[in-house]
Amino acid sequence: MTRRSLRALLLALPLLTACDRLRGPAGAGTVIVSTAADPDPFLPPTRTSVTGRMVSELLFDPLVEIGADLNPFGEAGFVPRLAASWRWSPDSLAVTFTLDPKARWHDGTSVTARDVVTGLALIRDPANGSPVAGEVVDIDSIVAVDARTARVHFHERSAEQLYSASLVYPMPSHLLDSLPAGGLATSAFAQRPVGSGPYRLVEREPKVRLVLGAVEDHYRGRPGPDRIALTISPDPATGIAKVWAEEADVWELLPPPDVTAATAYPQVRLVPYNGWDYTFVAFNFRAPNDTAAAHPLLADPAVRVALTQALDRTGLIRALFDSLAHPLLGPFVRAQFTADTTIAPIPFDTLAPARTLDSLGWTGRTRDGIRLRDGRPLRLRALVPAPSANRVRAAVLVQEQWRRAGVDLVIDKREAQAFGAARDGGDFDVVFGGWGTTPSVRGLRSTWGSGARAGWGRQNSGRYASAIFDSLVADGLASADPVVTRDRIRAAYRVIVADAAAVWLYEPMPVAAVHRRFLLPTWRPEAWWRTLPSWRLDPEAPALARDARPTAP
Amino acid sequence: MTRPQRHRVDATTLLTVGGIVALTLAGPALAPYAPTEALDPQRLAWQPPSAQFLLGTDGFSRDVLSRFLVGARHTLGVALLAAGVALVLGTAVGLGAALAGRWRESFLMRCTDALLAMPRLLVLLLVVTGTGALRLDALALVLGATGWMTTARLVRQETRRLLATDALRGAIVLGVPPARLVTHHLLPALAPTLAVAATGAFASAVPLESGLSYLGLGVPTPLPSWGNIIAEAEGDLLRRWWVVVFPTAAIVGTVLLANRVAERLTHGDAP
Amino acid sequence: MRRALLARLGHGAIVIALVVSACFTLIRLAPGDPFFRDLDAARLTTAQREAQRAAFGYDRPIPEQFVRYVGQVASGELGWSHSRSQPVADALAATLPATLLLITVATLLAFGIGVPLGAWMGWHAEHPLARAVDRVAVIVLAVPDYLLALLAVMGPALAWGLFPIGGMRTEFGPRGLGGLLDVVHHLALPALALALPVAATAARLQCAAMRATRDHAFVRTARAKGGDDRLARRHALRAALVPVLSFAGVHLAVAVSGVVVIERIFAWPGMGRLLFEGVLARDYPLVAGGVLVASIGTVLGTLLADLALRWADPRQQALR
Repeated sequence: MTRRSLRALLLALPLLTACDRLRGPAGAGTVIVSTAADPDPFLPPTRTSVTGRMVSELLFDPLVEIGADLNPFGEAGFVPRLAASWRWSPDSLAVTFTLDPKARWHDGTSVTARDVVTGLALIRDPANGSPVAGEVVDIDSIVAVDARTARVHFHERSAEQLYSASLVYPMPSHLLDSLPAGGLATSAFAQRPVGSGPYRLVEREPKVRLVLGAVEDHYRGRPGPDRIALTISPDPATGIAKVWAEEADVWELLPPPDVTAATAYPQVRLVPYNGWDYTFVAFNFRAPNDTAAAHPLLADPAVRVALTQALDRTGLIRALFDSLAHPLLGPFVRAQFTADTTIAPIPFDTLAPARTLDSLGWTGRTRDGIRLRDGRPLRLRALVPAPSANRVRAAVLVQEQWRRAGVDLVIDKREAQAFGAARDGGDFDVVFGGWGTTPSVRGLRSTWGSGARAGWGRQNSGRYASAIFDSLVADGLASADPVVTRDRIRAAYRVIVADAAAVWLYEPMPVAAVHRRFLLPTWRPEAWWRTLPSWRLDPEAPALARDARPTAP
Repeated sequence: MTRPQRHRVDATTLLTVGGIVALTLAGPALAPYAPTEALDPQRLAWQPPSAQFLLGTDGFSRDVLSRFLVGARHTLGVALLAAGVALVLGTAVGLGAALAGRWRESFLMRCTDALLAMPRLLVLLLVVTGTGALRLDALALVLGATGWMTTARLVRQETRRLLATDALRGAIVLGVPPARLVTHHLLPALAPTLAVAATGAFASAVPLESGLSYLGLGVPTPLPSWGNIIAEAEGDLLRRWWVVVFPTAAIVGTVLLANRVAERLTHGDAP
Repeated sequence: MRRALLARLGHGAIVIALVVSACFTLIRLAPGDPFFRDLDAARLTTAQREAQRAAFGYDRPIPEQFVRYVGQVASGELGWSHSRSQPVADALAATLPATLLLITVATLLAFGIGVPLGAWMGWHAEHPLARAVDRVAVIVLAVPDYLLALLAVMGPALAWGLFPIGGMRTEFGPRGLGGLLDVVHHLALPALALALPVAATAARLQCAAMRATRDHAFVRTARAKGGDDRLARRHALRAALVPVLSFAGVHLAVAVSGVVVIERIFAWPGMGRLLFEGVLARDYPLVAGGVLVASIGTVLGTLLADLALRWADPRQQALR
């Protein structure tokens, strides 16, 4: 069988329906989202998974939201949500938000400035273990000026101040202020949240299903679909089969073989979009058993470059994803505002690695062709997460390619828990890591920044440390001019790529499967569910039984 | 002393077992390709059986026949070692229970019951999800350590029966020391029971390894095993039938053969 | 009789206590962190982690945690499941009915098919059809259970569209009688996948026992007495139930392992799925609670099988 390019196949599909057909009668059926992961926890301060984020952002509105161009710098890219307007203080260290007077909690209470204060307090309570806490460290405090006015004070001026504020979701103080510290997870509220978003929670069976219903009198207007249901299948094959069998309407991320399979199901529309996750092989700069010492092999930049050269990433990506992934250029994805597609990667080369390794004394060979120096084989231990099928497959291909260069890669495949512990403990030579990015670039401080700066480098598992990289990122984030910020960050990318801190592997191009009876607005790559309220039923497509208006709420 | 009637395994079964052992040992020599080598992931992935690849290729463009041949030693080796561990543990507990006093016997057998009452797969998951894919010997050890209970029960029952026979009573009256009693009298008499228990443990370990591989917790990659060849299909059994059919047939065949041996050992003929 | 029953109950209680301690020890010793996040999620700060551990009491020494846990269980309190944000008792109560339904239907199906089939095979052991059925049963037993389940999803459900893919109900589907039929429709494949291997074992055991008793003295006597073949067969069947009944007791423990796989593949909202996810999330109280319930079920099942054994074979009483 000749393999047609999957991307060509996707291009041949009818383009997304234009937006002007979206105006229809309210009541746009039921959207069933099939997923493998439970959304729990799904409150804005505590959500961890993508599914959790989806549910939390349908249940709750933020103060402001990043707009369609995903520019996190300055304020031009932001649109109002619970805050109808905002004003900067003269010294730029505070922003005053005026709340929308029509905004209500699902129980009918008005949204007030105190709710904004509560939102931040829940993020800051260490017992809640909020993953957002590390993202809003630049916020000093939030003050309720009056019932409708909240002022956010910042520690420092930065390009992403408004972005930080967009991460604070007001939470209903009249229900939550009486909770003891750390009591959010075990509270009744966590089971039956009262939100401010376009959907309210109707029903929930943990780990099985969750049903959201449209809020009829929402301050931004009634959302389209009457109901949004999540159906959870632990085995992804089952979850995807549900979309094939019309038991569900959406699967967010199809594996490449299923993209091909989808053509057999005429009711399925494929939606390719830009991804936000990237995968890399990070080198450990420190010895696996003693993080105080430099790594005996990989601390040498020549070795890292040689290992990078020995990998044919293009072939690897084609084998894994067909055409549904881009080669990764650095620690960023193409959808990001700062992406720089002009960076030249370290090229694939079969001769250069041999020369380098020969010159470093790895001249001996075992019977299997593995290089030896002083009788010791050139062996690296790779930490690979078992739950990620793509990374496990990538590891097998990398192992095979490095074996041809005389490097023995031992694959240490571990379950999520054990993988995370070993990764964070630095117990590996190379790690098949992956990070999800956001429009913001502040994540660079924790993923690739060094621990030399306070609060940086918490997720930097390979302990890459470059003062130049650090200062470029810091300068960029501190600048008030979005153009300067972008240039500094791009310069930082070039530094880390030249240092060969990791082999930048791939950036998958996700493809979603959606039932054809829906007319879709433009797909938002960073959070597709944000446009769910404007989904409509195609009047020409036959509706399904579940699209009938629900009788009683 | 009357010898119990010896049950024989027929020639066909013996020949088949011998054939499998030979194939397993010779597997790496017979394999047409290196079992872990991705030949050409872009063009040769998921090739159905052909003259070039008799059993097709998997998603990494590795030759399934080569993986199948080399995988036999991992699958069968793990199962064999697991059966050995189960046999040793089960015999020790079973004998200990039968020979010890009432209270210790009761305690040992309640422990056995308790372990039987715990879902075996969950116990395996508890261990394996914490540590990550186990090395082959560790995998066999864990499989054996969770599969000895049936053996223990069988051994205890049979030992108690034997202790009531005249030969053993005689030995006890004559003052044969307990250690000698076990090594010279009980173990030889237990041999048929042990053989049956061992084949049973072996027959249950082979599919279990493939079940663990399906969950991604079996024989660690890139080492081939029958279970993880099937797991490569990632649930798509119909379109990638060739990675499923042949190893499954091998697993089923092995289990059938083990059952047959066990049946011959107990009855002398298969029902 | 009553003394023997009391002794069995006592044994059962000891077994349950041992299971709970073994489970508690095992899960605390197995590496892993209950507050681990998604694969690539941001790492918690040490302060956050310590605060969470303290909130759930995981910072105490293990013996202290054990004593506290036993105390809790004794007072009917199973603790808090942090991975599901609900009390363990609620999580179990929510998932137990689905699993009980699955196991009960599968068990009835398995023994309902297996026992008569095996009895027939045993009585007509020389019939070629009986031999053929035996071969099929042996093969069903040897196929790994997850393959059977996956085949059922891929074939009858997806390719032929005869059955739903997974779950227990159609989302926003019919209610009332239609809803009941909907559940039956969803139940068919997982129950069958769970029942097949059990049916095969039951049939083979029943067949062997029936063969053995067929030629036994008391059956021959019964035959001689009236020459009524049906009466003789009933006598033979009752005695031949013995091995099947003892297997039925053991079957329950195996069934729990089986539902872990089946419920995962068919997205069945039961306890097997709950336990599997609990293990992955290192949700200590949830797993301990689940295993406690499962072992109580097993012990009760064994007890029932024991009672049935006494009924089927009065000689058993004398042996104890």
